[in-house]
Amino acid sequence: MKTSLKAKIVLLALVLLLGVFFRFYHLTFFPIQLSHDEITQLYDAISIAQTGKDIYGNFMPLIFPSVHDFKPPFYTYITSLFYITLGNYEVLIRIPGAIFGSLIVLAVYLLTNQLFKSWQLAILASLFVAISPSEIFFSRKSFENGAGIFLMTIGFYLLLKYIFKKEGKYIYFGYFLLAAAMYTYFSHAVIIPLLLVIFLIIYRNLFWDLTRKKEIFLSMALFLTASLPLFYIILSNPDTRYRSQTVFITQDRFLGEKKSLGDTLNPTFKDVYDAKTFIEYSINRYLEQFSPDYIFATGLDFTNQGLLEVGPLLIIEFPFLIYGIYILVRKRNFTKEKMFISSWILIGMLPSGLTFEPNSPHRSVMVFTMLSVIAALGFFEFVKRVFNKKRNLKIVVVVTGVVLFMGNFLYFAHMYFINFPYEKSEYIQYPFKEVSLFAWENYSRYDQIIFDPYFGESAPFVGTGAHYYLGYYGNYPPEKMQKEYRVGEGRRESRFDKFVIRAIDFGVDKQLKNTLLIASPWVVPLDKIDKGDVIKTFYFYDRKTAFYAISLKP
Amino acid sequence: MIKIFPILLLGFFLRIIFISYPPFSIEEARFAFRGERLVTEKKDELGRTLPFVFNSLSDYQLPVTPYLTGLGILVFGKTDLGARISFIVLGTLIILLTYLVAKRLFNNEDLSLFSAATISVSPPLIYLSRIPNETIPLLFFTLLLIYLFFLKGWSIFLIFVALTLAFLTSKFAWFIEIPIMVILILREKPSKLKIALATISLVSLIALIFLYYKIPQSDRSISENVFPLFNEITVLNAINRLRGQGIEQGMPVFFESLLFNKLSFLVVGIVNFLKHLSPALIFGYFDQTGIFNFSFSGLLPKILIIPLIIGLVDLIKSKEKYLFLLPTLVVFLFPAIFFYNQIIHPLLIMSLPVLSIVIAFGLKRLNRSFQILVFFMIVFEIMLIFFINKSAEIKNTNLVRPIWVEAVVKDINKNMDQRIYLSDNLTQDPIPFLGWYGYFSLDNEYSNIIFPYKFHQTMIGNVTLIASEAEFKGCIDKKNSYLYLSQRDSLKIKEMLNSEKLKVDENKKILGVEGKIFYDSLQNPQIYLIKDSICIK
Repeated sequence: MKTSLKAKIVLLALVLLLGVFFRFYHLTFFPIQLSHDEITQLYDAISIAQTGKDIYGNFMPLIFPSVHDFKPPFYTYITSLFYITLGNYEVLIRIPGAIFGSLIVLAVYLLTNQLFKSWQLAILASLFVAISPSEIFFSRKSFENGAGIFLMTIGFYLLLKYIFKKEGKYIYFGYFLLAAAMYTYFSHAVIIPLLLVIFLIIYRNLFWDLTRKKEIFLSMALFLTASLPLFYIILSNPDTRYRSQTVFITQDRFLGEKKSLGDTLNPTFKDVYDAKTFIEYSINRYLEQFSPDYIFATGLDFTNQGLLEVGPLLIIEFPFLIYGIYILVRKRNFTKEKMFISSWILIGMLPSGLTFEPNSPHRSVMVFTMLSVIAALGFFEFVKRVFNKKRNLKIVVVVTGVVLFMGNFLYFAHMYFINFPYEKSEYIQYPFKEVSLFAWENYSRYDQIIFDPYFGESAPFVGTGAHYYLGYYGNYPPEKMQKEYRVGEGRRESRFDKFVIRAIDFGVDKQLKNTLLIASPWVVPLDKIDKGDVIKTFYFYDRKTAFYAISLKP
Repeated sequence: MIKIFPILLLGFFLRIIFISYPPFSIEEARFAFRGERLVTEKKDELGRTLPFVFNSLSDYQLPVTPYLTGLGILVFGKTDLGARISFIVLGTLIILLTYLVAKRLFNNEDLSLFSAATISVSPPLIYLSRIPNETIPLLFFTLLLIYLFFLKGWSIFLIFVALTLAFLTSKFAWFIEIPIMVILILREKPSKLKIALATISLVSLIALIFLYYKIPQSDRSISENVFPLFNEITVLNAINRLRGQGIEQGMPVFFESLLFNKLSFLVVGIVNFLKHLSPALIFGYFDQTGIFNFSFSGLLPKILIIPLIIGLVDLIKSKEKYLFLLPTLVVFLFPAIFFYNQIIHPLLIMSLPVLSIVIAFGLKRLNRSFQILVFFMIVFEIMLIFFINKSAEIKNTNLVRPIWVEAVVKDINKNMDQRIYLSDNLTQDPIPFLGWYGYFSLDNEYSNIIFPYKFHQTMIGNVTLIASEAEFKGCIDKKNSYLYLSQRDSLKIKEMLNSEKLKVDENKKILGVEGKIFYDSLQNPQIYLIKDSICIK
């Protein structure tokens, strides 16, 4: 028994360390630059810590306008606490994500152990989560969802614990954490109540102990009270409504195209056709989230190289997931747990399935976490079967298994650390940091600095958050930014201090004096510029040209 | 047994109702045209006498489908019914065979009926049973083969016939049939005679492939259409690119070669295989292009997702001896591994009988009222497909199933006494449509092409196709020349008129005024008719 406990602790510690290592290793350098989501939250967090307001002057906002994408508040506030404690570092924004990402490994251990009553399986599940590509990827990119998944996993773990221990602390704390998890990410505000209702239905016989009705009702009241402000924000704040509407599946242009095919139908049939098309399209979108090629091979979209990609889970886990499902289905006296696990997966895929993007893995991480648990179950049972076989077979299987897992993980690591920066640097607004630092270096030499963030490698798009990059890398005091920042009258124009972020029309703007223009070749083709005016060229990570800095002197 | 008849009747009804729908695609029109020629003239569209290997846009075509199409035309003439009836009949017989196979396998009437009912309402089976194609005969012969395998004595010869016909229907059969026979042999422990037969079949397949390889360009046909993955330059480029990025970052070349090498093709193949396991294909959109299915339907009606899940759970929990069904699914789908980033729809359709049996397990577990609800939901979905979606479908398949081409061809037919020129981009290959919808006397000018691989005809009867590089000239005095011009050629002529490179009668300068304009299903102008004023240089 003692050996078992020691082994348990040592193994769990090793797995946790592994999880921490993969989430913190070279966190400053990979991803290679702060993305627009990171820079906006970091600068807003600093602004909150210094002034109590975001950079637009909103006092302690419950939703951050950011770059008009209206971010939930949790991650920014928690980063501001880290800022107060640790000071100003770029990596600061990534620390909460990496911490929560590491804690998920522990949470999965606790939940799996509680569900399956097997510490060996629980350790294996946490190991699968520790090395899961999606968990590592999202933990390292300051993604707020990680905190939500951690809190939610622990919350349900505590509720399960309560069922068997009947101690009030579990139910109070469990409900409290579930309520807190709802604040981390908007989709959690829908998913957690749904999953909680299903949980309460599944475990109704075990949960509703009438001798303990006081703590049951009080804890529920606590949950409702804690959630109320969130629902108030969601329902009353036009920004959150706007945010929800803009990402909903109805915004999908392909759905619009399909609907337009029915335009010649008479009005009654047209209504039926529209409703039918919407339902079919939503079902298709939802079911696409369960496509194995997406989950195991292509979902993380690290490269532009077709099917040579990385999925949220390692492809080697696929057969074990299938076997895990088989074992799970066959498991007797496990109906409630099976239903809970299935509900977790089916409900967890709803946000990704009902948004306008074909696949949004960041909205489905909680599902991938649970799929890792099932794959671990499959692996666990497979190993158990093999260990009952002959010694030679055991050795062959173990060696093959280890080689395949390591090979698959190395493939992911290579993709993440080497190929991903080359292939997708533009999508984290690379090289906006370098542009910002250069602009500040030349701050005193010009009357105004105009930056047009319309750029891209193979096709152009408008990079968002330019004023955040400029503000943060210039150590521009947030208090000053709150006063200075304003939306201009030009196309896509905003400005603060000497900086103007707007569309550049080179034919007109080249007449400006004592101005630094920063624009991409999409805006200013090289053949239209006097080469001597280009004082710096900025490159994407793969050395393709991203921007020119053009000096317009008197 | 008597209970299967209403299901067969329903299946037949769904396959024959609105007989002209869907309009033909290029290859289907080619099958119909070819079938007609085979039964009327004993020649194919190129003038070759009763050939064994045929032409198409993408590959050589095997003989069963064209001759089957011809069989219907022989009975019902050159009509929609004639071109489609063989497939309607085979599509209906697939329902019966599913019932019989399920009965043999499980000896359970309800289960067999549910399986047959599921097959009868599968949208792609309804759809494909209405058009000439390879998938329906292949599925029919495969099911027949499985059914015959369970019979005793006299069936041995028939098994061989069914297998040979399957091999001569589609190249997918070359991959699928032998593993299926192996599974059957392993499961059913049949007589030595059947094992011998399986061996003979394998040998005959090898012989068939050997003979196929004797045909000119057959290696190209196989590598481009059966193993296209290995020709995929995208994968090779990706391997080099990803490897190069690592080397640039200072990683050892050996390590890079270990991660990205020829085995990456296998990884890509496996990923393509995994694509076929998406539930969205089964219950969402199966084929949005409208070639293999109604564009907005899945492989099965949506409500059947519930019995499918229940059936799977039921199989895993309590019917371990029937779990062989799941590897059978893999056998049907595994040729997908040889393709790159592409759904191979016929493979999924081939797997339908297996899916239908799993669903039948689920349906059996439902109570009667839920079964009735499922039935009504299916009826509702199919009614929507036929009555609400139809016009949207025609618009969606405007280019792959160009129903509007028929009007152009009919107009050409009215002007048979003229010399006619037609833009060759009317569709990707206009000849099959001209052949099927029109009435041309052919002089078999291509009969010297013995093995036509991806061959494009440029004329049929008195119609000559206008190539993109063709040049135009005015021919004021010359009459009897009708030009059916696409946007491409009409714009070219407009430009020539504007730049005065082309001079025609002043009254005939403006395209579309003097002649007709033909519109597509989206009401976009597609063809302009110019009479007697412009000639091809």
